[in-house]
Amino acid sequence: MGVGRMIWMEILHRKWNFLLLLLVLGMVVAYALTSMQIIAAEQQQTEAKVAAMDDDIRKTMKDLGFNINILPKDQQLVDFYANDFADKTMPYAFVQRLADSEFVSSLNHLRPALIQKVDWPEQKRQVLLMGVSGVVPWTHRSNAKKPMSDPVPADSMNIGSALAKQLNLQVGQAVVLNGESFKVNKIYDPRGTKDDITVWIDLKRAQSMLNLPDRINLIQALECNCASIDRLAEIEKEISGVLGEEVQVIELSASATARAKARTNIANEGKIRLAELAKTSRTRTLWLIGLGATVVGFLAYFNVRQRQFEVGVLRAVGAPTSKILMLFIGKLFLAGLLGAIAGIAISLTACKLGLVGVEGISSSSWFSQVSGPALAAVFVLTPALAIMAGWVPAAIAAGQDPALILSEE
Amino acid sequence: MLKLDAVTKTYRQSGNEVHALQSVNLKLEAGQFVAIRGPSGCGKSTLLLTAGGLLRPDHGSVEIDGTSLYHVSSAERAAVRQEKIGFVFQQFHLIPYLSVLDNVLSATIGTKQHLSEKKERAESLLKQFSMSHRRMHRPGQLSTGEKQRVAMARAMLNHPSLILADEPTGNLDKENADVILQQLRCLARDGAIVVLVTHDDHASAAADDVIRMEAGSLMLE
Repeated sequence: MGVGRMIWMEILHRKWNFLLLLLVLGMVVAYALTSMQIIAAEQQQTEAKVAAMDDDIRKTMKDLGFNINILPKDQQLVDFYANDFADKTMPYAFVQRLADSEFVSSLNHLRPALIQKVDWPEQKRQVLLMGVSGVVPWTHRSNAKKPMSDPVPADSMNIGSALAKQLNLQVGQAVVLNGESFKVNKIYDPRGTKDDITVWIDLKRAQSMLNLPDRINLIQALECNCASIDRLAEIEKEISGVLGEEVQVIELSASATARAKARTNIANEGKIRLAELAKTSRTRTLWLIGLGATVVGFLAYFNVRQRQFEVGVLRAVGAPTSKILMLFIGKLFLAGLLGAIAGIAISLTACKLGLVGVEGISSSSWFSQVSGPALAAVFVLTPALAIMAGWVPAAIAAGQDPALILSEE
Repeated sequence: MLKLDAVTKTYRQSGNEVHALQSVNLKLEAGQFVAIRGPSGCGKSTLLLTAGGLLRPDHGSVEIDGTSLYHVSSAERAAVRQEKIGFVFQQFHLIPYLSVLDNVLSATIGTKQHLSEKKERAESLLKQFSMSHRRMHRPGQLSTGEKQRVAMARAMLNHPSLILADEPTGNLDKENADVILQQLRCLARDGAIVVLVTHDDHASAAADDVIRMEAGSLMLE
C-alpha cells in the first residue's frame, strides 16, 4: 500500500481538518496576493497624479515661459532690470557648449536670444526686439522633450498683444521694421509682462540688424523637475562646470517653481504613502503568516493526536519512521499546494467582485500585477510554510513510542 | 528461533518500581505454539512488546532468527518487525478510514514488493478468512469477529516467522475465537513460532505448551 493512497484516504476521512488547513493557508495566500494588488493600484494612482501634475506644470511653464536666465558675467543686474535687456553680450557658442555637455542635467530647453530696446521708426515708437532661434537640442539626451517654443520664421515676426492692439496689426499683415520687411506670423495672448510689447524675430536676422553677429545677450532655460531644494546653486554649479565664470544665472517664475515643488511633494508623499502601505502590508502579512503557521501547527498537532494509535499500529507492523513522517508531511504538502490555489481563487474573486475597496483593482489587473515568479513563489512557499508549521507535530508522531500507544489502547 | 536472554524491564511510576520482567529467559523454536497465562499486570503484554521489538528491555537481549533486536538500528528493527513478526491485538487496531483490503495491505508500507503481489497475497488471505465479500468495507462496518479476522490477515501478510498475539480471542464469541485459534495452529504447523497471551483456558488449550507468568517471571505449567 502506498503512502499517497493512505494520505488521500485519511484526508477523505477527516475532511474538516483538511478543509480548515486549506482555509487557513488560502487566507494567508489571498491576503498576501491582494496586498500586492492594493499596493500596485495605489502606486498606479500616485503615478497618475504625478503624471497629471507633470503635465500641468509643463503647460504652466509653457504659459509662463522659461524660468532660468543665463546672462553674461559682467552684466550689471541693475541695468538688466532697468532696461529689460542685457547691454553686455556673449558668444552664441556658449549655448552650444551647454547643449553639448553631458555634465548639465538640471536644465531642460535651451534658447539663445539677443534682446535690445529699439526704435521702430515706421510705427513711431520704441519696442523690445528679441531675436530668438528654436530650442537648441541636447546632444547627449535621447528622450527629446517637446520644444517649449517654435522658432520664428526668418521672414516673420511674432508680436505681443498690447503692441499688436495699439498698432492695429493682424496676423499675415506685412510690416517694415527699420527698413526690413516682415510678415506678422503670430500675435500672442496677453501675458501681463513685457512680452506684451515685444517683437520676436529670427535670431540671425536680429544679429544682423543690431550688427552683433554671432552674439547673444541671454540664454533662456527651464529647470527640470529633478532639481533639488537648492536648485539655483545646483544649476550654477553645473553651468560653471561648462562655461567657467563667464556667465551668471537668474531664476524666474516663482509660481512655476511653487508648482514644481508641489509636484515634488506629491511624488514624495506618494512614495511615503506607498512605503507605509508596503510596510503595513508586509507587517500584517508576516503576522498573518505567523498566525497561519500557528493554526496549521495546532491543526497538525490535533491530527497527530487523533492518529496516535494508527501510528502505533503502523510502527508495530514495521512501517519505517520515514514513511510515517511522510504520511503527515505529504498531507501538509498537499494542503499547501491546494491552499495556494484556494488563496489565488479567493484573491481573484475578491478583486473581481470589487470587495477590496480600492479603485483600479479588477480580475484583469490582477493577472498583470502578479508575475510568473510571484505565482511560482506562492506555489513553493505555501507548501513550505505548511510543512514547516506542521513539522514538529509530524516528527513527534513519527517518533512516538508504539509500545506506549498500544499499551494505552 | 526466538530467544530471550535474561530480559529485565522495570517501570517507574510516581517513585514506585514495577518489575514487569525479571530476568526472563525463553527459547522457542520454529513451529512452537505457546500460550502465556497469568494475572493482570504480571507482565504478559510487556513480554510480548519486548519480544516484538517494540519495547527496549532494561537488561538482556532478544534475538529473532539470529538478529539481536536491540543491537540494531531502529530502521533495521522496523524491517525485522515487518518481515518476521506479526502482531495480533485484543483491540484489533484496524485503521478506521481504510477498507478491509487496505488495512491488510497496511503491513506492506515501505516494503519493496510489487503492489500486484501484495494485493494478490492480501486477497488470498481475505478469502482464507471468508472476508472477500467485505474487502471494500470499513472496520466500522464489521462485526468484532470479522475485525479480528482482518487483523489476523494483516499479521500474516508478510509470512512472519513469529506471531505475537495479545488476547486475540478476548472479545470474540466461541465461533470466531475458534477461527482465530485454528489459524494460529495452522501457522505453527507451517513453521511459525506462535506466542499467545491469554486468560482463556479454551485458548490456551490450543497451544502446545502453556507458560505461567507471575510477577514478571516465567514458569512452565
